[in-house]
Amino acid sequence: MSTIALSSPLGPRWTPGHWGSTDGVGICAHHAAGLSIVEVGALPDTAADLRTALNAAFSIDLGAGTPAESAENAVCTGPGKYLLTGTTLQTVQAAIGALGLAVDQSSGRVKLSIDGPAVAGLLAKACPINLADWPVGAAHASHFMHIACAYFRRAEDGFDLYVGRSFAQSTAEWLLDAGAEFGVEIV
Amino acid sequence: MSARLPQPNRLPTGGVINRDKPVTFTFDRRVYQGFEGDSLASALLASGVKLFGRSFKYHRPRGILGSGPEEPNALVEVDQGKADRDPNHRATMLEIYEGLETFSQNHVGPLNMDLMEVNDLISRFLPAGFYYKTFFFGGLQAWYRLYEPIIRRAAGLGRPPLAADPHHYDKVYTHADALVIGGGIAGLTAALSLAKAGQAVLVCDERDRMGGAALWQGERFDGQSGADTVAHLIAEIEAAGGRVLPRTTVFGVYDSGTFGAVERCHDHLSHADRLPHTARMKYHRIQAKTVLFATGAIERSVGFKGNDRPGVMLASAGHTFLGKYGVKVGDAVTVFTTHDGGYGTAAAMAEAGAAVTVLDARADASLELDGVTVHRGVYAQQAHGRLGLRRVDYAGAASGSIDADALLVAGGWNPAVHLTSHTNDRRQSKPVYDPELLAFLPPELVETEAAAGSVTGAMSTVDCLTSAQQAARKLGGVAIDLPAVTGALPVSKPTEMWAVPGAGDKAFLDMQNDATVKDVKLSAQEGFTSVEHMKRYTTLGMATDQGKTANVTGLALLAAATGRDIAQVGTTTFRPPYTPIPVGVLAGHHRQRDYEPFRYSPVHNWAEDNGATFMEAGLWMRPAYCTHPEDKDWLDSAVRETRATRYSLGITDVSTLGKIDVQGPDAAEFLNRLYTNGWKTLPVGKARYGLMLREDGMVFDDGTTSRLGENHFYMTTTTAHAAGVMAHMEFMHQTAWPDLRVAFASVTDQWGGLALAGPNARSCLAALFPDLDVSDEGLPFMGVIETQWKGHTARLFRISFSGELAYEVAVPADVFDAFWREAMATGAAWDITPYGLEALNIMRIEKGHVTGAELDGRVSMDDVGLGKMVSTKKDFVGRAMSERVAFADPDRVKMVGLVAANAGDKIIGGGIVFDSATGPFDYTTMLGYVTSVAQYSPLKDRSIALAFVKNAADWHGKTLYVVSHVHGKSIMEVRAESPHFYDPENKKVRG
Repeated sequence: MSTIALSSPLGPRWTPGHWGSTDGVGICAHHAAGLSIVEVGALPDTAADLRTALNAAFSIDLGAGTPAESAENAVCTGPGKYLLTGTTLQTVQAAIGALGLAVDQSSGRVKLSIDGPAVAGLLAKACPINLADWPVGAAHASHFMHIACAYFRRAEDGFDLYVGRSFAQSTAEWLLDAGAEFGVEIV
Repeated sequence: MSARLPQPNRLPTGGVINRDKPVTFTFDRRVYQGFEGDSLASALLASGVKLFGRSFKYHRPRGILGSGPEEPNALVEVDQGKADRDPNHRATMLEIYEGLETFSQNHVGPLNMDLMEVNDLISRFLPAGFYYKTFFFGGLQAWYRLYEPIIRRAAGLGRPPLAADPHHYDKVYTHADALVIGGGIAGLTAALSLAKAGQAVLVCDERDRMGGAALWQGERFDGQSGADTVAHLIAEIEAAGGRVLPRTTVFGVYDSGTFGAVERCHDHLSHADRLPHTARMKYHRIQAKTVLFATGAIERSVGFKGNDRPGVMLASAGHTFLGKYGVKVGDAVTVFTTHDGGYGTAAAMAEAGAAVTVLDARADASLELDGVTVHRGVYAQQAHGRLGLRRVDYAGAASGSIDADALLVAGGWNPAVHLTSHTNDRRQSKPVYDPELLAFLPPELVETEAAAGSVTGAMSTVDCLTSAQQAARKLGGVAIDLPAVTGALPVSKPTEMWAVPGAGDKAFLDMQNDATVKDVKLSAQEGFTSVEHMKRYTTLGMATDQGKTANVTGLALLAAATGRDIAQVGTTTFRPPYTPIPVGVLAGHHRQRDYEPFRYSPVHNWAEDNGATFMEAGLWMRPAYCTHPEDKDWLDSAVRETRATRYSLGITDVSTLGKIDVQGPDAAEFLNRLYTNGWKTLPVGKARYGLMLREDGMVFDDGTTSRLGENHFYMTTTTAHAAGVMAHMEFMHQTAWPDLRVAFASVTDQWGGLALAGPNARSCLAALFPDLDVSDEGLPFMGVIETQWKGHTARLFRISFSGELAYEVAVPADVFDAFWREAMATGAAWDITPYGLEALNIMRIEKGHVTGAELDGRVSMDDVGLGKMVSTKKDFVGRAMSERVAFADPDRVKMVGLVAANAGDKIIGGGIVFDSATGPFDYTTMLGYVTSVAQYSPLKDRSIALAFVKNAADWHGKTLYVVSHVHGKSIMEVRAESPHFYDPENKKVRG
């Protein structure tokens, strides 16, 4: 790869520092710039084999059911569909062979990580899913306000959000607006 | 403010207000004081104010009728500057705070001398329905010029804000196992039962404090005061994981356990106390597995003359002001009651030091109160006192007059059944009339619903608690010990008295709309016998209070007037919202710039820095044109960009096109079924233009698809239809062809794309990829190469939308900005010129290429001249319907090109095409319509357009006329041509 500077999709408001309420930091937000993301999708009859191949290749345990269907580096976005992070298209293609589709989404998806005691309050403004029904380690394809978004619950108060690159600036702006009452620290 | 202002009607003790914290506020610019916890109504009543506003129609002076959300009269404006004027707050629900400024509404001149009160003097000429009868005189012109302007000026409650709402609102998704609506003693008791069963309970109550009447009406629970009991219940609910939301109105019940609620977060706080970054209100979209309605009951009045005079109020209101706020609403109080409940109020008033008289409509009533005069078998016949009650006439078994400054009316209770009948997902969702209780009760509730408290018709506190226990058990609550209630107030079923004998004119039912007993009778007399018709005819039950105190009385009188049972008449349909909510809270964060998300191209910043003017294309922000200093206007810019592209080299951003990666052994077959043309023979390394139909045979979308590998395709769609095409593919794959071994993913955002177009496009491309053979042989028309650019995958496509020799290059979006800048630097040798959508539009119209303007869902393949693309060797979506006879109708409109006859004319988009300059210009003579216009085509040196006309080919070379009915019926002469104005042989694109 070259050393070309990657352009940020998050817009001018997303700069490191504090945003909103000065009473504390309710949410820490982080953008994983330059992250390698690969989308895979099973063919109609290969979902189980695809899981097996991914488990073997990446030492994870994608079972057939929530929450084991996802892992931090393999977020399930639908039946037989995953976003794999920290790997390359070539590696994934080698792992899954002809079991399904593999496309590079390193530029196409933006991963935002949010952590902190006010994460639930923030997500209540954006995501219709009940956090109480959402164990750590589970993923959901849903939306962030009006924007399609895949979520992974990394910890009790920690979530990863995956949105389309072209929507990233609006996501960032709305995340900051919604989080302002809690105080957001962009790190 | 240190000095205490007088509050002559405030008792020295009592109430659940914070007497340690005085609050100063204004009403009609006069300064008053109340205490923290006061409503505007209680604070003003405490200060001796009786006149709060004017009625809508007759502008009669009005005071307070109720004490809560049902209040029809005391609507006020909260005004803190032009940008923050909020009309129609109910004074009974508005909590005072330091610095609150309020104003009365609906009067001309001072409140106590409203000039519009003349309407009251001529009210005999303004009965219900007079609008419909009166304004025929003078004809239509009189209506437009005289009547309507006058009515419009007179209409409306309050003044609207003059500027955009400056407040911030939030929307919140809220979840619960059980939603309890109403935080009175029944609701809280039920909530505790559910919470102790391990359910996630949410209790919402529209008032500022939980507890309802239990807070103040003096009953004791296991020896504890009501306030202590309520506090204890709340603590227990919260300890069990429940959530209690005061100031939260559940305004709507929707299907599948969805509820709408508005939480008022700021309105009770002074500006200094409002936290920055927090919302004025939150709209809770609640999802709950079960719901328990504990919505209480609303007292009703009785129709008698002058029952709207300031000082006449509901008995429960007078009792609430006394118990909750420590305010005595009168010194000489008359209580007019139809049941035992009025005696509790009378006793409390007497205890507070008022001289009390009871008028009991029941001749056989037996209750006695020490120190209180009781007249039995009588009713209030008329109330006197224009700006404040002075005297009450009574009649019946006895008659007489009583000097009084307050008349409290206990006409019975209407359970607040509104929310229980919002949804229509049961067999029967209308409230059910109980002739014993003289009240409508909730309809039969489904297994996930229950009701508790006085909404069920329970009248005593003990009955309310028992019903709470039962309702909670129905929803899975645990058994809890109910407290022993002491000091209970007297209750009984009311005797039936909706209006007193002889009541008619000036006996008001709906105080807000000035609908009277007489109006209801008139409605019945004129044939408006359906309760829904009566509502519209009389306006009873309309506006901000939706007739909460009036509806049942009105329909009971309608029943009597039409000789029917009340049950037969039924209620009007209750719909959300239960009480008014600001529109802003429904929009939440999403208004103005945040109305919807924007999508930005990876080179948006570059375009912004280089003078681009953007236009919205769906959610995308796309450059329309880039302005140069010498450009006179946008058209000048677009023409300059067009010429630069035609004569040398243009560059444009095509990142917004939809892109779908299709992989799998059946990928080619999948495309074969989606598109009208064939894909199995497309070689690897080649692209093909494809046309997709809907199932009805109309053109859905178009685009090029490239074969990157034997089982790997890269599809592009129009920007507008990208999501629709993806959904269409998912639908067809999942439902029609689940056996096809194919998978696909949207890669629209993965790839940034630019088009290099013009005679020097190849030279520029060669310079950008010096190691690549991009000659006509190396990269022929519709050829595709996948290569590398500085270590990143790059895809080169020789395709053209502009009609020029052109290439599209896609690289990953993260590096697209860098690639674009390099292309600009490299292309400088050929004066590379960025062009936007306007120039692209000119060029594609010159070329005869269609876009969404042409593919509007009404056109077939033949209509746009693409019928030859249909493969006859296969089936595809839309094929059967595309063979409909109607598609071959010679009168069917097809695409044609139009050229303005005169160089200065600009063809108008959407114009109608005729073959005559003299008309008639109507649908019988129209030939077709204009879809796309280039205001100026450098090729033709004048305006050109694409249009759809009947017998399109027959018109080539002939004169037609474009008429725009929305532009003053301008008539423009045009010449019809083939729509392929530019390079019809495709020599340029293949050159």
